[in-house]
Amino acid sequence: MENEENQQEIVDREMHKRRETMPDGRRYIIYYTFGKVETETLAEVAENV
Amino acid sequence: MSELRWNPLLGEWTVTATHRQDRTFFPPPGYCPLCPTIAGGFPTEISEPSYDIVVFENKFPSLMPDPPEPAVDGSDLYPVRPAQGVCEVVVYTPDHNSSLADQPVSQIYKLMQVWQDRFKDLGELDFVEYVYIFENKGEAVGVTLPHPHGQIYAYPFIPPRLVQKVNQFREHKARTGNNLIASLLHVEKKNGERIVAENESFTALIPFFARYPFELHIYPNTHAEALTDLTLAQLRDLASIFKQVLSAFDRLFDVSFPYIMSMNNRPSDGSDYSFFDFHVEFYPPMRTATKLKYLAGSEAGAGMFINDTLPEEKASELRRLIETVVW
Repeated sequence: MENEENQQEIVDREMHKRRETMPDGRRYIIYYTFGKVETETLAEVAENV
Repeated sequence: MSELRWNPLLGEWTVTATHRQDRTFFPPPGYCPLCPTIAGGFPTEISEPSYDIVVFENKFPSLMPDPPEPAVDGSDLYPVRPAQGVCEVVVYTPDHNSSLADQPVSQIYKLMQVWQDRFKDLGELDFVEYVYIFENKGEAVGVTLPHPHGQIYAYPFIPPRLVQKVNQFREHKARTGNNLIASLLHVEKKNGERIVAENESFTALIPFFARYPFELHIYPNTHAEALTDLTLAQLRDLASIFKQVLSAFDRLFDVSFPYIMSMNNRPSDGSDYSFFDFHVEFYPPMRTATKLKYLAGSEAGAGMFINDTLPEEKASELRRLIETVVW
């Protein structure tokens, strides 16, 4: 039962991505985080990428 | 200097990328470019102190979205073209002294979702025809940065091996009416000797035709052309089977097992690939605890592999080392 609950918690963690320009000014870097964070959701970041 | 040069003998492109000669090579401790940057420390590629998974463009790419014009003139016999494409590095974890096998299955599941997202994003670029997700692990396969990571190459053409596979998949469908992976699984599940692990969505096996002693394939149990066709539940199952087989690999000789991981999705050129199935292949070079399989004359020169072992025996060895995944 605990395993199923943990799995559900994992399922519910939304993926967030934040794309930035790297210090060299030409390459991009994308930070992926999962769970409740203060960045945009995947849907909101669509315009940025 | 970077360009695509045509090989008229094989009918395929080669990338020349001379800037890659100077790429980072076994950096000393504290200078790993894939570790998070510590305040006051060496500035790495990753300025954030923490992340789940990070993806960035390779500093020494073989292909670039906006490449320079070829440095050499082409000809009818030797066409050249700009080396356009995308090369990304996918860093699996902030933990330098780790591996994908060491990760909790929840982290591997996150990686599956990231790979799915990258496949979608890169496949939508108008100059990309194939998105190739792969991992080189271990010095034995030529890795120069030990921090756990993989790569993604978005090619401007379908690479030769995938052309060959697509043709095989298409021919099988045309001849039998069935998808090739479904046909293989039908035989393998009936036989059972080469299956290493399986769950609701995937089957891991050492193929009948294995070229490396521990070559391992993961096939979807139901039709899926690409990662983007998989549901979150199927991605969880894929993460579980990855965790099982990678951990079993490490138990074989009690070493962090070197391998090349090759993820085969359908091409991204917009054509119909309903006859094709997503699958993953692992090519581990170790044949015993102390010996490697090298690609020598027959393999490298003639394209014919010689396997000194029986797939059925190797599958049995690996299957005994499979453990249940705990989420």
